[in-house]
Amino acid sequence: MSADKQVLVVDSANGALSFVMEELNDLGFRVIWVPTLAAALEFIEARPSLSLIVASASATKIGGLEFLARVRDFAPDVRIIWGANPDAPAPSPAPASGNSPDSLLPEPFRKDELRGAISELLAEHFYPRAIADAVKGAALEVLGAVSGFEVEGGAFLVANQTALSDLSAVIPFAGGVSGHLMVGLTKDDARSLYQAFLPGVLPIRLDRMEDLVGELCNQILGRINAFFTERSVSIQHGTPIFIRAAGSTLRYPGRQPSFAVTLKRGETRVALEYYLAHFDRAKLQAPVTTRVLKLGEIRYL
Amino acid sequence: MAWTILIVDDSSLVRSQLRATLEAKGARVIEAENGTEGLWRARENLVDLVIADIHMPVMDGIRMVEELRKLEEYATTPIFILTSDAASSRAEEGKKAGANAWILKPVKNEMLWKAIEKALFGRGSSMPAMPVAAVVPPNSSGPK
Repeated sequence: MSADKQVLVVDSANGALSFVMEELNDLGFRVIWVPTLAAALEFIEARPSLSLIVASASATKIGGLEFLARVRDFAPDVRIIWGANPDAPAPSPAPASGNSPDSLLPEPFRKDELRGAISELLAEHFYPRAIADAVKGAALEVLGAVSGFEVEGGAFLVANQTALSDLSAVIPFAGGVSGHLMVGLTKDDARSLYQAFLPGVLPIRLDRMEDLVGELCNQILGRINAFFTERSVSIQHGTPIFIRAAGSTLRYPGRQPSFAVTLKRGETRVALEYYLAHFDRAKLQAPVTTRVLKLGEIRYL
Repeated sequence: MAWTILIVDDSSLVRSQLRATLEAKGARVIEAENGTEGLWRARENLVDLVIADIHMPVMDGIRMVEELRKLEEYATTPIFILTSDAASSRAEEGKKAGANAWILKPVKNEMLWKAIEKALFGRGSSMPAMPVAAVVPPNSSGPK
């Protein structure tokens, strides 16, 4: 594990952050717990290669501002999530000070809120912004055929288990990069989207809805792969695997997190989970060398 | 007489979308779910143009195009690949197999129809379905 895949949790002994520690562990981070800011500072001064500090208000009642200033001196790139207890003075979030945390969350922490903040701050470790943008852009481009879709909230990391929708399609890919794309919809959303793509077809059978999910997965993956192809990374992908499993979860222990995005159009939601098992980060820095076709473009051979 | 177009795609959604577009323009449409069925349909009905996906179970689109081109009656028939695969190298494979155009999904209906007209204009309309043994090779003049 690289040295910067470490997270420091500053929490008094009341265990308010124990669930976070478990989840960070699942995401593949080494989690170090310290009970006080003084102990945290000592650790950071000795080992400044940290990804993230999560500090609970219970441990930060005294000396918070001074702590933040010292951390920024020693480890300017570390991201900080700070718990704000309504009864205690929190460090000023004013950006001008340079000593503000990256995320200031009220305590007691709400699991979803904290999970979202952690994902946002750590996603870059697994899915550089260029890839994250390619995934979101591909989905918006394909779903743009029935206009009005937008990315709902932020993208987030999924540790090692996924809640499945009513209808899901998975397409594995391999080559210069390997992994899979999964697209999931509820039956109602699939029905509504099918009517948007192909008006007037009624009733819409389950296999047809499933087919829509598979085709979306296929087309979106094609656009994501184009991003890599432009950088001379060759990828092969196959046909979709379909899963009908409302309320079930898919677990894959021991692998790195996947990248999840939800797209929304009115009440209709399309869930994407993109997983990269490996890729060469250096390729992302390389200039675009290969021309790929744009959506709908015709190339005469 | 209307042009007859064979659509080969494992997605029923794509086939239905294409069927709606092409029939609205007056074309006759025949569908197949994979390359093997596509070959069978093409032998059964002499079609004026083929639109085929690449990623399909049983037999993929590239292989189907190779096999189609081995048939005398399909030596010059326009074949379009309609796929989500944007890689130029794959398009080159399509060219080598004998495809005439590489189109990225999802395609706009009007753009597709213009490409079909461009490919078929001057080739004449299709003949009625007949057994392969009795098929007369179509007019090979006109743009591919």
